[in-house]
Amino acid sequence: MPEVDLRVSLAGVELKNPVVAASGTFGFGREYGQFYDLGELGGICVKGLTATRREGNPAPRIAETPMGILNSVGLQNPGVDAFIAEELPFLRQFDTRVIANISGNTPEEYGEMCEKLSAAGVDLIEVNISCPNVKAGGLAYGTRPELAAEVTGEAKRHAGKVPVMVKLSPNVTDITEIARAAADAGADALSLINTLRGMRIDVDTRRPILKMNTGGLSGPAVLPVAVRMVWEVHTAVPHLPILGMGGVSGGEDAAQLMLAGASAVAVGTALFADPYAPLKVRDGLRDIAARQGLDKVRSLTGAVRPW
Amino acid sequence: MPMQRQCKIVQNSRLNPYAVSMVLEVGEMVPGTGQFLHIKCGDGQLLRRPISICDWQEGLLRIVFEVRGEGTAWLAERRRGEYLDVLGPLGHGFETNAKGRYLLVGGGIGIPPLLGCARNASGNCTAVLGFRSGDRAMLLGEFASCCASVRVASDDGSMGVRGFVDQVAREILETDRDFTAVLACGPRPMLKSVAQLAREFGVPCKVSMEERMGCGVGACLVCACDMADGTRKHVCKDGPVFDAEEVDWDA
Repeated sequence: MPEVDLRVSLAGVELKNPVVAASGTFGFGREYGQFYDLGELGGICVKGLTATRREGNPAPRIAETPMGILNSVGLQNPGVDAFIAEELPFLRQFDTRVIANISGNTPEEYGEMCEKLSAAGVDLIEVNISCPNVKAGGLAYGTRPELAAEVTGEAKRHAGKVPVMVKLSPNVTDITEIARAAADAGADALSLINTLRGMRIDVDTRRPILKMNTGGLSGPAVLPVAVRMVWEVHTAVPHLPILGMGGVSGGEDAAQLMLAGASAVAVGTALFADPYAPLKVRDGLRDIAARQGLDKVRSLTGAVRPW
Repeated sequence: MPMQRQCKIVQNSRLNPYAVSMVLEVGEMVPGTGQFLHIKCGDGQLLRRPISICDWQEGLLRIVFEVRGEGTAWLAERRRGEYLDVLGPLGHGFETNAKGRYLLVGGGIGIPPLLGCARNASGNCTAVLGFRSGDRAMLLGEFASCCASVRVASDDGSMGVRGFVDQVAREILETDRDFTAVLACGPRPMLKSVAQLAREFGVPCKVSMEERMGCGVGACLVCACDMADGTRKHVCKDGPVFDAEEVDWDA
């Protein structure tokens, strides 16, 4: 089979391959770094950071569902300063792109975090305006175009040369509205989808499995929703690169997201069954590209032939 | 170091109508007592199932589990010669030394991981094992073969003393508190009682906690355990074994 060029570009940042570990499923890389060289990955989206340390929500925080999981972790993290001091130097040892995922309670907090992360030197900042598991901020910013624009603008003003990627929520009527708002406010890239709000109930105890009652759905069950939304967003704002995610566990899933318009893909929930899932997705993508006679995997992006 | 490995099943037997004992070839995996394996239970289940390690000897590892849902039902049906997709050994286990004298307190399916502790400190341990009823009893002979003494309790009195293990543990501690530590594994209310008891008698206490788990390696942070200092640690990586004083029992 011919050699396939796996390199892709995301908001001007070159990734050695299109596969990124999704935020919230990969910690700060240390755990999966026990299984393989983190330099095998195109990039790592770190666990969602907040201005100060958060302990997250009470357990249970996970429920298994048909071909999916619900989670309600609630952004447990050591805070942006501890990340910069203790985790970033570790991640910097590896030949991979480091993407910092941030959530703020106010637009100003997003700005402050961007300033610190930009100074510390990350490759990309993923602005999370779509976490379904926190009360303040989070999802609220991702469901109202004017707030999404405000947060995006604030992040851009403080991120310096580091590109800003805005992470969109699927829990909206029309995702293209939010995508356009973020684009107009200067976003360099978009990532989607975050989890879909869901609930599971134990019929014997009549209690929800999750202590927070509801949580975010991820896993293979959400892949078709992700493909549809990436396609809609790519059509609405074709100039903005997209990091596609939602239920990717194999090369074909990733290829679907790329054909729909994603420049790169993130792998998350699949890691829980298989720590090597991101590498298998990368190899699967390479095989598909080779089978189709492509010399570069990036030519899949947006190449869907809709009816 | 944890690893992912296809492990051959060399033995699968029933200990009682509810519990299965399985021996796996684990090659170079070298587990500590109280650690666990994260096992893929067929393609129908997205998440692996955490199963505690009962015993290990030169490449052969024994797990004991109860059939509780679809995942463990699938696992129970695997036969000798089949392979399992195993991640392990994982977690922070019990730290025992051969000269230690431990009071082992186990309830139900919390009993198997204590067998490794009993064997590590062979001849020095007292085990208090509790079951809902006599038909759920397991591993009694094996504990008897390596413990100085074994006491049994059952909720319905169908085997041993009627009542809970913490009552029996209290009787023991009232006459003899010269233990290196109390090591406990079982349902949370039992662990809470045992932790209080150990504190009352001034004996160090380690408990093995349970929580719904995701990745099993400490990356996804779902298996949170509330700590007395207000932080939340994680059962898969910081635990499953914690110092009883660390845990917020009122959470």
